[in-house]
Amino acid sequence: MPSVLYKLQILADAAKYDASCASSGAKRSGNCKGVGHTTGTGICHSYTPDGRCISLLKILLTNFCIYDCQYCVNRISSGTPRARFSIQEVVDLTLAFYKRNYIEGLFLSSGIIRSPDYTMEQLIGVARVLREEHFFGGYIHLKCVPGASPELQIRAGRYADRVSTNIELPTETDLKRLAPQKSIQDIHSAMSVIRQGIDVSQDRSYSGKSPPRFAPGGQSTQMIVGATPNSDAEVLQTADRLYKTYRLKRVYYSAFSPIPHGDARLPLSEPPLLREHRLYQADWLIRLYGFDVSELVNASFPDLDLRIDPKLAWALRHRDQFPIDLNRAPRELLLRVPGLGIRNVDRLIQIRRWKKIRLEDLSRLRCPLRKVRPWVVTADYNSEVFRLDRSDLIRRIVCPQQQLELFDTGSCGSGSPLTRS
Amino acid sequence: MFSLRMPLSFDSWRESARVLLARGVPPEQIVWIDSNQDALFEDLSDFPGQTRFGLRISRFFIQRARLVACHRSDDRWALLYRLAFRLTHDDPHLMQLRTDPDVRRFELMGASVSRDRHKMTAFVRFRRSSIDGVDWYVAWYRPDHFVVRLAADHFRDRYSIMNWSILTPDESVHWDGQQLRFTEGIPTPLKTEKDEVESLWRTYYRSIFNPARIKTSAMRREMPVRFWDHLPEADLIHGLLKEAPSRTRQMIRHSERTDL
Repeated sequence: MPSVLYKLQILADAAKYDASCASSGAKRSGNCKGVGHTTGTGICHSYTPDGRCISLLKILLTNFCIYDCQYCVNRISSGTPRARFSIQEVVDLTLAFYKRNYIEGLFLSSGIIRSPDYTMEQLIGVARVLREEHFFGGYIHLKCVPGASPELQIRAGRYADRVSTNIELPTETDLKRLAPQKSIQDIHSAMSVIRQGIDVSQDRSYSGKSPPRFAPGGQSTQMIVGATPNSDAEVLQTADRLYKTYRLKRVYYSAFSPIPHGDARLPLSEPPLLREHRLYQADWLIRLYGFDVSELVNASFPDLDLRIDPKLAWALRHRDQFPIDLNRAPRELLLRVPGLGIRNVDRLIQIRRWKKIRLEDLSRLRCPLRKVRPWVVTADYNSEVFRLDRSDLIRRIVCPQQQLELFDTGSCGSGSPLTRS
Repeated sequence: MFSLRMPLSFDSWRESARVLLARGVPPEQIVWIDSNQDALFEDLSDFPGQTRFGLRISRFFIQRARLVACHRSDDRWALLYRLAFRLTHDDPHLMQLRTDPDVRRFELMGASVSRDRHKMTAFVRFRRSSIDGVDWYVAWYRPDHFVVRLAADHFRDRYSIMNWSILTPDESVHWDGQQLRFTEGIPTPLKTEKDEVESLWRTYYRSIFNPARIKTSAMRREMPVRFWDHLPEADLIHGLLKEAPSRTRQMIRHSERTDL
């Protein structure tokens, strides 16, 4: 009988290719019968040297799998060592880690054993024991198995704070080629069942009572980038469709990473981390900055520029829309200025009700002046703005050193590089 | 010039500041000194100003000031008073001028305190021990600022059915299932027995790390090295980084050919 330590080693290793670690979006106050509460903002309890945070105990229930998805370390044809936790073992591990303040909760996924329904029942079993027998109030993220029955997906949403169904690859053709047993219809219908569950739980129109909780942290998905030769346009269009159709909280982009026992038909190289970083930046621009996908990537520019961030790339292509007057422009235009993040835009709007904005205000807000100056008009003299038409503008903004730093910018699953700029 | 000795707490600052503001004592004339004795006010009656009543100050300022008061820097009381004076005597909209040097510093100090409180909720690590046959979870932690009281409710809500103690150099907090108690600080970590769950946690940390993705600057920024000595997983980092390149090369070399 293999020890829990041995299984943990295998089943954590097998789970690390899932990028999500978010523990945010759900609020639950403590109860007096069990441990745990969630604050709504999420807590990252540790960080590994890959720059990712550890917020949840992220493991598979088992890495035995009847599917043969080429990009996956756990596919049936891979020679990876196998293990399977019992429901009780996962419950005990979660509680032991939680009580020592190592984690916010559990992110449980699994290889497909016997059938999607059987697998889903096992995952729900863990969540049920945690919630109903131990009154666990921490965060639970369950992976939805595509093809499992809608009733089971609804039960998962009752116990979980977040559920996710992975879209896996940018297009249906890719999925057919690399993951022949998975169907895009199953993935979409799982997302749609969860969407409806969330909608019902938020509906208060029939009676005054609030309906039972259902995945208050919303649903998310993950797309592997770099395993197939898709353009960034295809990746972002798929993401955008999912955001619009199922109102996903997040799409995670996971740079395809070499795996132990990897399939030789897949690219054998370092994961495209910089590309992943640019995709997250573009994703942020689409969700929060009012950009349309087609403004960032389109037929003429199918891929994001790896050297510079997507907002700067857009601005360089649309210099006719600049300069922008920081003292007059509406919020949606301020959001388009390279180097200005949401928080600083809102601060500027607040300040300018009381005084004129000058360059020194930008430096006090720690805006990257080198990046912002060419695009804006302030109350004082800004010589850089006259260089807007010059062909060497990009070199004045980005020096090679900065590009290196950008490359090393961390993107923990739940945070984004842009929130810090 | 007044030297004002007062205890280390926001409420005592507030009491003193209320009197001084009503008298219109300008910030340049006060030296604030942290002290465990009661506030001294003898000199104040000599101040020749008129007492004003009904001074009002924004709720936003008071809320944030409670955070800034937990900052470790010596000038926090002076900064709070200077802002309170400017808000009441000069410009009631001052807090909106977020690039004003005082407002900016106030904001940054508040942000570091609230970040430090957050880091405490993240990086405290309990070890289970047994006191008179009862499980007790004990942690030693060193926050940057005076955040123990700010973070105590979080731990109480989360671990309400456990007995626990968090010891820090400034002050310690204990929960016995009934009430929070605060006691004096413990300057250095206690020698406690190893908790067997730590080896599971270290195994998890090793296994969840992907050697093909190295981004140490992100890790160091979010988990500053000064917190590492009480994280049971942190001494693994060096070794993981050292073996990462060879593990990645091996993964690439050992890919399995399957028939198409």
